[in-house]
Amino acid sequence: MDPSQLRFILEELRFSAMLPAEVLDQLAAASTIKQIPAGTVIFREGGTNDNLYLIRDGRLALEMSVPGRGAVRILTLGAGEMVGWSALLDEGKMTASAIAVEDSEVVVAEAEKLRQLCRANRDFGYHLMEQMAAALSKRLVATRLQLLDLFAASPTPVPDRTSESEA
Amino acid sequence: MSSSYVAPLPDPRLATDPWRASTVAIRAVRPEVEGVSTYDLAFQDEAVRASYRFAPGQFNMLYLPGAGEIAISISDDPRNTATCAHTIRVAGNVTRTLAGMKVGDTLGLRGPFGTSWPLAECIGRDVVLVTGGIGLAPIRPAICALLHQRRQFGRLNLLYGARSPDTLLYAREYDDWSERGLIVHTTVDRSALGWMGNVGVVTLLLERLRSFDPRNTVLFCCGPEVMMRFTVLTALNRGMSPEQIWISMERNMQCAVGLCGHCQLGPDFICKDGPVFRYDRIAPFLDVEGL
Repeated sequence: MDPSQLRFILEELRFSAMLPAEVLDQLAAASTIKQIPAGTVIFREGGTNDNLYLIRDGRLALEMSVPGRGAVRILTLGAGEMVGWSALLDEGKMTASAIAVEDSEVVVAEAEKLRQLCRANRDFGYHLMEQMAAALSKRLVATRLQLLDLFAASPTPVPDRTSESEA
Repeated sequence: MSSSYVAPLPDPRLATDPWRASTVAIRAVRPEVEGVSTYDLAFQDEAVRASYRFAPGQFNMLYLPGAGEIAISISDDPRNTATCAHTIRVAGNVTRTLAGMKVGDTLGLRGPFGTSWPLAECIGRDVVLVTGGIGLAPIRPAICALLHQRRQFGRLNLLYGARSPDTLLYAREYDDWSERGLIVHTTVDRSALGWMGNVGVVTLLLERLRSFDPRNTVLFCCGPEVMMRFTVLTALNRGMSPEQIWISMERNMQCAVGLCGHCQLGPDFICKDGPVFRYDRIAPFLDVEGL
Protein backbone atom coordinates (compact mmCIF):
# COMPACT_ATOMS: atom_id res chain seq x y z
CA MET A 1 0.00 0.00 0.00
CA ASP A 2 1.45 3.38 -0.94
CA PRO A 3 2.02 6.11 1.68
CA SER A 4 -0.87 8.26 0.43
CA GLN A 5 -3.34 5.45 1.08
CA LEU A 6 -1.77 4.81 4.47
CA ARG A 7 -1.99 8.49 5.29
CA PHE A 8 -5.69 8.39 4.54
CA ILE A 9 -6.08 5.41 6.88
CA LEU A 10 -4.12 7.17 9.63
CA GLU A 11 -6.34 10.24 9.30
CA GLU A 12 -9.30 8.05 10.20
CA LEU A 13 -7.78 6.41 13.26
CA ARG A 14 -8.49 7.89 16.68
CA PHE A 15 -4.84 7.65 17.73
CA SER A 16 -3.48 9.57 14.77
CA ALA A 17 -6.42 11.65 13.54
CA MET A 18 -5.25 14.80 15.35
CA LEU A 19 -1.67 14.69 14.09
CA PRO A 20 -0.55 17.59 11.82
CA ALA A 21 -0.37 16.85 8.11
CA GLU A 22 3.43 16.65 7.90
CA VAL A 23 3.60 14.29 10.87
CA LEU A 24 0.96 12.09 9.28
CA ASP A 25 3.01 12.00 6.07
CA GLN A 26 6.12 10.92 7.96
CA LEU A 27 4.23 8.33 10.00
CA ALA A 28 2.64 6.93 6.85
CA ALA A 29 6.06 6.66 5.18
CA ALA A 30 7.33 4.62 8.12
CA SER A 31 4.31 2.29 8.25
CA THR A 32 2.79 -0.68 6.49
CA ILE A 33 -0.58 -2.36 6.80
CA LYS A 34 -0.99 -5.95 7.87
CA GLN A 35 -3.79 -8.49 8.19
CA ILE A 36 -3.72 -10.57 11.35
CA PRO A 37 -5.85 -13.72 11.53
CA ALA A 38 -7.77 -14.45 14.74
CA GLY A 39 -5.67 -16.34 17.26
CA THR A 40 -2.34 -14.92 16.12
CA VAL A 41 0.05 -14.00 18.91
CA ILE A 42 1.52 -10.64 17.92
CA PHE A 43 4.05 -10.44 20.73
CA ARG A 44 4.61 -12.21 24.02
CA GLU A 45 5.00 -10.88 27.54
CA GLY A 46 8.69 -10.71 28.43
CA GLY A 47 9.71 -11.02 24.80
CA THR A 48 10.82 -8.30 22.45
CA ASN A 49 8.80 -6.53 19.83
CA ASP A 50 10.04 -4.05 17.25
CA ASN A 51 6.76 -2.50 16.15
CA LEU A 52 4.06 -0.11 17.20
CA TYR A 53 0.59 -1.24 16.07
CA LEU A 54 -2.47 0.89 15.41
CA ILE A 55 -5.65 -1.15 15.04
CA ARG A 56 -7.65 -0.28 11.95
CA ASP A 57 -10.20 -3.05 12.22
CA GLY A 58 -10.86 -6.01 14.50
CA ARG A 59 -9.97 -6.59 18.10
CA LEU A 60 -6.78 -7.46 19.97
CA ALA A 61 -6.43 -8.64 23.56
CA LEU A 62 -3.67 -8.03 26.09
CA GLU A 63 -2.91 -10.89 28.44
CA MET A 64 -0.56 -11.37 31.38
CA SER A 65 0.64 -14.66 32.79
CA VAL A 66 -0.20 -15.35 36.41
CA PRO A 67 1.20 -18.48 38.07
CA GLY A 68 -1.62 -20.87 38.78
CA ARG A 69 -4.08 -18.93 36.64
CA GLY A 70 -2.44 -19.04 33.26
CA ALA A 71 -2.91 -16.21 30.78
CA VAL A 72 -5.28 -13.61 32.23
CA ARG A 73 -6.96 -11.36 29.71
CA ILE A 74 -6.76 -7.83 31.10
CA LEU A 75 -7.91 -5.64 28.25
CA THR A 76 -9.30 -5.79 24.75
CA LEU A 77 -8.55 -3.06 22.24
CA GLY A 78 -10.40 -2.01 19.13
CA ALA A 79 -10.21 0.21 16.08
CA GLY A 80 -8.18 3.38 16.51
CA GLU A 81 -6.24 2.13 19.51
CA MET A 82 -2.53 1.59 19.93
CA VAL A 83 -0.73 -1.59 20.93
CA GLY A 84 2.94 -2.21 21.59
CA TRP A 85 4.00 1.12 23.08
CA SER A 86 6.85 -0.57 24.96
CA ALA A 87 8.62 -1.00 21.62
CA LEU A 88 8.97 2.74 21.43
CA LEU A 89 9.56 3.62 25.07
CA ASP A 90 11.18 0.60 26.61
CA GLU A 91 13.42 -0.92 23.96
CA GLY A 92 10.86 -3.50 23.01
CA LYS A 93 10.63 -5.50 26.24
CA MET A 94 6.93 -6.29 26.31
CA THR A 95 4.86 -6.08 29.51
CA ALA A 96 1.95 -8.15 28.20
CA SER A 97 1.12 -10.52 25.37
CA ALA A 98 -1.04 -9.35 22.48
CA ILE A 99 -3.36 -11.74 20.67
CA ALA A 100 -5.83 -11.16 17.85
CA VAL A 101 -9.29 -12.02 19.19
CA GLU A 102 -10.77 -11.75 15.72
CA ASP A 103 -9.42 -11.20 12.21
CA SER A 104 -7.83 -7.78 12.41
CA GLU A 105 -6.13 -5.20 10.28
CA VAL A 106 -3.37 -3.10 11.79
CA VAL A 107 -1.04 -0.30 10.76
CA VAL A 108 2.48 -1.39 11.68
CA ALA A 109 5.21 1.17 12.31
CA GLU A 110 8.77 0.03 12.91
CA ALA A 111 9.80 1.37 16.34
CA GLU A 112 13.41 2.03 15.37
CA LYS A 113 12.29 4.14 12.38
CA LEU A 114 9.98 6.12 14.68
CA ARG A 115 12.78 6.66 17.19
CA GLN A 116 15.04 7.94 14.41
CA LEU A 117 12.30 10.30 13.23
CA CYS A 118 11.78 11.53 16.80
CA ARG A 119 15.48 12.28 17.17
CA ALA A 120 15.80 13.93 13.78
CA ASN A 121 12.63 15.97 13.96
CA ARG A 122 11.61 17.20 17.41
CA ASP A 123 8.25 18.39 16.08
CA PHE A 124 7.46 14.88 14.91
CA GLY A 125 8.64 13.51 18.25
CA TYR A 126 6.56 15.97 20.24
CA HIS A 127 3.33 15.26 18.35
CA LEU A 128 3.80 11.48 18.37
CA MET A 129 4.62 11.41 22.07
CA GLU A 130 1.69 13.72 22.83
CA GLN A 131 -0.68 11.21 21.24
CA MET A 132 1.09 8.38 23.00
CA ALA A 133 0.76 10.15 26.38
CA ALA A 134 -2.93 10.85 25.78
CA ALA A 135 -3.59 7.22 24.88
CA LEU A 136 -1.65 5.92 27.86
CA SER A 137 -3.38 8.41 30.16
CA LYS A 138 -6.78 7.09 29.08
CA ARG A 139 -5.59 3.54 29.59
CA LEU A 140 -4.30 4.43 33.07
CA VAL A 141 -7.66 5.96 34.06
CA ALA A 142 -9.47 2.90 32.71
CA THR A 143 -7.16 0.64 34.71
CA ARG A 144 -7.86 2.66 37.86
CA LEU A 145 -11.59 2.21 37.31
CA GLN A 146 -11.04 -1.52 36.86
CA LEU A 147 -9.10 -1.59 40.13
CA LEU A 148 -11.95 0.11 41.97
CA ASP A 149 -14.07 -2.98 41.27
CA LEU A 150 -17.16 -0.77 41.09
CA PHE A 151 -19.62 -3.54 40.30
CA ALA A 152 -18.64 -5.81 43.15
CA ALA A 153 -21.44 -6.73 45.51
CA SER A 154 -20.96 -5.57 49.07
CA PRO A 155 -18.59 -8.18 50.56
CA THR A 156 -20.53 -8.33 53.83
CA PRO A 157 -24.24 -7.63 54.31
CA VAL A 158 -24.80 -4.12 55.59
CA PRO A 159 -26.84 -3.88 58.78
CA ASP A 160 -28.81 -0.71 58.12
CA ARG A 161 -30.90 0.75 55.35
CA THR A 162 -28.43 3.49 54.57
CA SER A 163 -26.45 1.57 52.05
CA GLU A 164 -29.36 -0.48 50.85
CA SER A 165 -31.14 1.97 48.63
CA GLU A 166 -31.07 0.59 45.10
CA ALA A 167 -33.37 2.91 43.25
CA MET B 1 -44.96 8.28 21.27
CA SER B 2 -47.41 7.29 23.93
CA SER B 3 -47.51 9.89 26.65
CA SER B 4 -47.57 7.16 29.26
CA TYR B 5 -43.85 6.61 28.68
CA VAL B 6 -43.02 10.26 29.05
CA ALA B 7 -45.03 11.10 32.13
CA PRO B 8 -46.71 8.68 34.49
CA LEU B 9 -50.46 8.62 34.78
CA PRO B 10 -50.93 9.58 38.41
CA ASP B 11 -52.94 7.35 40.65
CA PRO B 12 -55.36 9.76 42.34
CA ARG B 13 -55.00 7.95 45.63
CA LEU B 14 -51.24 8.31 45.55
CA ALA B 15 -51.62 11.98 44.77
CA THR B 16 -53.51 12.53 47.98
CA ASP B 17 -51.75 9.99 50.16
CA PRO B 18 -48.23 9.03 49.09
CA TRP B 19 -47.78 7.20 52.40
CA ARG B 20 -50.41 4.61 51.67
CA ALA B 21 -48.94 1.24 50.73
CA SER B 22 -50.81 -1.20 48.52
CA THR B 23 -50.53 -4.92 49.11
CA VAL B 24 -48.67 -6.83 46.41
CA ALA B 25 -48.03 -10.55 46.15
CA ILE B 26 -44.88 -12.13 44.76
CA ARG B 27 -46.05 -13.74 41.53
CA ALA B 28 -42.64 -15.02 40.40
CA VAL B 29 -38.98 -14.91 41.40
CA ARG B 30 -36.32 -15.16 38.68
CA PRO B 31 -32.70 -15.58 39.77
CA GLU B 32 -30.61 -13.35 37.51
CA VAL B 33 -27.01 -13.53 38.68
CA GLU B 34 -25.52 -14.44 42.04
CA GLY B 35 -27.23 -12.41 44.76
CA VAL B 36 -29.63 -10.75 42.33
CA SER B 37 -33.20 -11.79 41.54
CA THR B 38 -36.16 -10.26 39.76
CA TYR B 39 -39.45 -10.24 41.64
CA ASP B 40 -42.72 -9.95 39.73
CA LEU B 41 -45.16 -8.23 42.08
CA ALA B 42 -48.94 -8.25 41.54
CA PHE B 43 -51.36 -5.82 43.17
CA GLN B 44 -53.99 -7.60 45.24
CA ASP B 45 -56.54 -4.82 44.76
CA GLU B 46 -57.86 -5.00 41.20
CA ALA B 47 -58.65 -1.26 41.10
CA VAL B 48 -55.09 -0.38 42.09
CA ARG B 49 -53.70 -2.79 39.51
CA ALA B 50 -55.88 -1.27 36.80
CA SER B 51 -54.82 2.30 37.57
CA TYR B 52 -51.12 1.72 38.28
CA ARG B 53 -48.74 3.16 35.68
CA PHE B 54 -45.09 4.08 35.82
CA ALA B 55 -42.58 5.77 33.56
CA PRO B 56 -39.12 4.27 32.83
CA GLY B 57 -36.64 5.41 35.45
CA GLN B 58 -39.11 5.70 38.35
CA PHE B 59 -38.94 3.71 41.57
CA ASN B 60 -41.25 2.17 44.14
CA MET B 61 -40.94 1.90 47.92
CA LEU B 62 -41.22 -1.73 49.01
CA TYR B 63 -42.32 -2.27 52.59
CA LEU B 64 -41.65 -5.50 54.45
CA PRO B 65 -43.29 -5.46 57.89
CA GLY B 66 -40.73 -6.09 60.59
CA ALA B 67 -37.80 -5.46 58.25
CA GLY B 68 -38.29 -1.97 56.86
CA GLU B 69 -38.87 -0.09 53.65
CA ILE B 70 -36.56 0.35 50.69
CA ALA B 71 -36.49 2.27 47.42
CA ILE B 72 -36.21 -0.03 44.41
CA SER B 73 -36.13 0.96 40.74
CA ILE B 74 -38.81 -0.53 38.56
CA SER B 75 -37.25 -2.80 35.95
CA ASP B 76 -40.35 -3.85 34.02
CA ASP B 77 -41.74 -3.06 30.60
CA PRO B 78 -44.01 -0.05 31.24
CA ARG B 79 -46.70 -1.67 29.10
CA ASN B 80 -46.94 -4.63 31.43
CA THR B 81 -49.93 -4.05 33.66
CA ALA B 82 -50.33 -7.54 35.12
CA THR B 83 -47.27 -7.45 37.34
CA CYS B 84 -44.44 -5.08 38.14
CA ALA B 85 -40.88 -6.40 38.09
CA HIS B 86 -38.13 -5.25 40.43
CA THR B 87 -34.58 -6.57 40.08
CA ILE B 88 -33.01 -6.58 43.50
CA ARG B 89 -29.55 -7.32 44.87
CA VAL B 90 -29.26 -8.61 48.41
CA ALA B 91 -27.53 -5.76 50.21
CA GLY B 92 -29.05 -5.34 53.67
CA ASN B 93 -31.83 -6.26 56.06
CA VAL B 94 -34.81 -5.55 53.83
CA THR B 95 -33.43 -7.18 50.71
CA ARG B 96 -32.18 -10.15 52.74
CA THR B 97 -35.66 -10.60 54.17
CA LEU B 98 -37.14 -10.31 50.69
CA ALA B 99 -34.71 -12.94 49.42
CA GLY B 100 -36.16 -15.33 51.99
CA MET B 101 -39.73 -14.83 50.76
CA LYS B 102 -41.46 -17.09 48.29
CA VAL B 103 -44.10 -16.92 45.58
CA GLY B 104 -47.44 -15.98 47.10
CA ASP B 105 -45.99 -13.99 50.01
CA THR B 106 -47.15 -10.41 50.29
CA LEU B 107 -45.52 -7.06 50.98
CA GLY B 108 -46.40 -3.37 50.74
CA LEU B 109 -45.70 -1.08 47.80
CA ARG B 110 -45.84 2.72 47.53
CA GLY B 111 -45.25 4.43 44.25
CA PRO B 112 -44.28 5.11 41.59
CA PHE B 113 -42.06 8.01 42.60
CA GLY B 114 -39.51 10.27 40.99
CA THR B 115 -38.60 11.54 37.57
CA SER B 116 -38.20 9.40 34.47
CA TRP B 117 -35.89 9.07 31.47
CA PRO B 118 -36.73 11.80 28.92
CA LEU B 119 -37.92 9.55 26.11
CA ALA B 120 -39.76 12.34 24.33
CA GLU B 121 -36.43 14.13 23.85
CA CYS B 122 -35.06 11.07 22.08
CA ILE B 123 -37.53 11.14 19.20
CA GLY B 124 -35.62 11.51 15.94
CA ARG B 125 -32.27 11.23 17.69
CA ASP B 126 -29.70 8.56 18.45
CA VAL B 127 -29.73 7.18 21.99
CA VAL B 128 -26.76 5.79 23.88
CA LEU B 129 -27.46 3.93 27.12
CA VAL B 130 -24.39 3.54 29.33
CA THR B 131 -24.75 1.38 32.38
CA GLY B 132 -22.92 -0.96 34.68
CA GLY B 133 -23.70 -3.74 37.11
CA ILE B 134 -27.21 -3.66 38.52
CA GLY B 135 -27.58 -0.19 36.95
CA LEU B 136 -29.07 -1.98 33.95
CA ALA B 137 -32.26 -2.60 35.97
CA PRO B 138 -33.50 1.04 35.90
CA ILE B 139 -32.51 1.26 32.22
CA ARG B 140 -34.46 -1.84 31.18
CA PRO B 141 -37.89 -0.09 31.12
CA ALA B 142 -36.38 2.58 28.85
CA ILE B 143 -35.06 -0.15 26.54
CA CYS B 144 -38.55 -1.70 26.39
CA ALA B 145 -40.14 1.67 25.61
CA LEU B 146 -37.54 2.59 22.97
CA LEU B 147 -37.86 -0.76 21.24
CA HIS B 148 -41.65 -0.67 21.39
CA GLN B 149 -41.59 2.46 19.23
CA ARG B 150 -38.30 1.72 17.51
CA ARG B 151 -38.98 3.68 14.32
CA GLN B 152 -39.23 6.95 16.21
CA PHE B 153 -35.56 6.88 17.16
CA GLY B 154 -32.21 6.83 15.38
CA ARG B 155 -29.40 4.46 16.31
CA LEU B 156 -29.84 2.80 19.70
CA ASN B 157 -26.70 1.60 21.48
CA LEU B 158 -26.48 -0.10 24.86
CA LEU B 159 -23.02 -0.03 26.44
CA TYR B 160 -23.05 -2.33 29.43
CA GLY B 161 -20.24 -3.21 31.81
CA ALA B 162 -20.27 -5.93 34.42
CA ARG B 163 -17.77 -7.28 36.88
CA SER B 164 -17.38 -10.63 35.12
CA PRO B 165 -19.12 -12.62 32.38
CA ASP B 166 -21.29 -14.49 34.89
CA THR B 167 -22.67 -11.22 36.32
CA LEU B 168 -24.05 -9.81 33.07
CA LEU B 169 -27.65 -8.96 33.95
CA TYR B 170 -30.55 -9.97 31.64
CA ALA B 171 -28.13 -11.79 29.32
CA ARG B 172 -30.97 -13.96 28.01
CA GLU B 173 -32.63 -10.84 26.56
CA TYR B 174 -29.71 -9.45 24.52
CA ASP B 175 -30.52 -11.44 21.37
CA ASP B 176 -34.11 -10.23 21.41
CA TRP B 177 -33.04 -6.63 21.98
CA SER B 178 -30.53 -6.91 19.13
CA GLU B 179 -33.12 -8.33 16.74
CA ARG B 180 -35.42 -5.44 17.56
CA GLY B 181 -32.82 -2.79 16.81
CA LEU B 182 -30.71 -2.19 19.90
CA ILE B 183 -26.97 -2.60 19.35
CA VAL B 184 -25.74 -4.32 22.50
CA HIS B 185 -22.09 -3.86 23.50
CA THR B 186 -20.89 -5.60 26.63
CA THR B 187 -17.62 -5.60 28.52
CA VAL B 188 -16.36 -7.06 31.77
CA ASP B 189 -13.81 -5.82 34.27
CA ARG B 190 -12.52 -9.33 34.90
CA SER B 191 -12.33 -11.92 32.18
CA ALA B 192 -12.99 -15.63 32.58
CA LEU B 193 -11.92 -18.74 30.76
CA GLY B 194 -13.73 -18.95 27.44
CA TRP B 195 -14.93 -15.33 27.43
CA MET B 196 -14.39 -13.93 23.93
CA GLY B 197 -16.05 -10.57 24.53
CA ASN B 198 -14.58 -7.25 25.58
CA VAL B 199 -12.47 -6.76 28.69
CA GLY B 200 -12.12 -3.29 30.21
CA VAL B 201 -14.27 -0.60 31.74
CA VAL B 202 -17.50 0.48 30.12
CA THR B 203 -16.23 4.00 29.38
CA LEU B 204 -13.89 2.45 26.80
CA LEU B 205 -16.95 1.27 24.86
CA LEU B 206 -18.11 4.88 24.63
CA GLU B 207 -14.62 5.94 23.46
CA ARG B 208 -14.77 3.35 20.68
CA LEU B 209 -18.37 3.80 19.61
CA ARG B 210 -18.48 4.22 15.85
CA SER B 211 -21.20 6.03 13.88
CA PHE B 212 -21.51 8.44 16.78
CA ASP B 213 -23.02 11.85 16.10
CA PRO B 214 -22.52 13.88 19.27
CA ARG B 215 -24.86 16.66 18.15
CA ASN B 216 -27.78 14.33 17.61
CA THR B 217 -27.45 11.93 20.52
CA VAL B 218 -29.10 11.65 23.91
CA LEU B 219 -27.18 9.70 26.54
CA PHE B 220 -28.72 7.96 29.57
CA CYS B 221 -26.36 6.74 32.26
CA CYS B 222 -26.96 4.64 35.36
CA GLY B 223 -24.42 2.93 37.57
CA PRO B 224 -21.94 3.64 40.33
CA GLU B 225 -21.31 7.36 40.64
CA VAL B 226 -17.62 7.10 39.72
CA MET B 227 -18.56 5.22 36.56
CA MET B 228 -21.11 7.89 35.67
CA ARG B 229 -18.60 10.68 36.27
CA PHE B 230 -16.10 9.18 33.83
CA THR B 231 -18.83 8.31 31.35
CA VAL B 232 -19.89 11.95 31.33
CA LEU B 233 -16.27 13.07 30.87
CA THR B 234 -15.91 10.74 27.89
CA ALA B 235 -19.21 11.93 26.40
CA LEU B 236 -18.18 15.57 26.77
CA ASN B 237 -14.77 14.80 25.22
CA ARG B 238 -16.57 13.25 22.27
CA GLY B 239 -18.47 16.46 21.68
CA MET B 240 -21.74 16.04 23.55
CA SER B 241 -23.10 18.90 25.61
CA PRO B 242 -24.23 18.57 29.26
CA GLU B 243 -27.83 19.19 28.18
CA GLN B 244 -27.82 15.92 26.19
CA ILE B 245 -26.76 13.77 29.13
CA TRP B 246 -29.10 12.30 31.75
CA ILE B 247 -28.03 10.35 34.80
CA SER B 248 -29.90 8.38 37.45
CA MET B 249 -28.72 9.14 40.97
CA GLU B 250 -28.83 6.91 44.01
CA ARG B 251 -29.02 8.11 47.59
CA ASN B 252 -30.61 6.98 50.83
CA MET B 253 -34.26 7.49 49.93
CA GLN B 254 -36.64 6.97 52.83
CA CYS B 255 -39.83 9.00 52.47
CA ALA B 256 -39.86 9.22 48.64
CA VAL B 257 -41.67 12.57 48.67
CA GLY B 258 -38.94 15.05 49.60
CA LEU B 259 -39.88 15.52 53.24
CA CYS B 260 -37.35 13.60 55.33
CA GLY B 261 -34.26 15.11 53.71
CA HIS B 262 -32.18 11.92 53.76
CA CYS B 263 -31.57 12.02 50.02
CA GLN B 264 -30.89 15.74 49.69
CA LEU B 265 -28.16 16.63 47.21
CA GLY B 266 -27.57 20.36 47.00
CA PRO B 267 -30.94 22.00 46.53
CA ASP B 268 -32.54 18.80 45.24
CA PHE B 269 -34.07 15.72 46.77
CA ILE B 270 -33.15 12.63 44.79
CA CYS B 271 -36.50 11.00 45.54
CA LYS B 272 -38.64 13.91 44.38
CA ASP B 273 -36.51 15.91 41.93
CA GLY B 274 -34.72 12.78 40.67
CA PRO B 275 -33.60 10.07 40.47
CA VAL B 276 -33.19 11.00 36.79
CA PHE B 277 -31.50 14.38 36.33
CA ARG B 278 -30.19 16.25 33.37
CA TYR B 279 -26.45 16.37 33.94
CA ASP B 280 -26.06 20.15 33.95
CA ARG B 281 -28.52 20.40 36.84
CA ILE B 282 -26.73 17.95 39.11
CA ALA B 283 -23.12 18.47 37.98
CA PRO B 284 -22.15 21.12 40.56
CA PHE B 285 -22.95 18.72 43.39
CA LEU B 286 -21.41 15.52 42.04
CA ASP B 287 -17.83 16.31 42.96
CA VAL B 288 -18.55 17.80 46.38
CA GLU B 289 -17.07 15.59 49.06
CA GLY B 290 -19.59 14.51 51.66
CA LEU B 291 -22.70 15.26 49.62
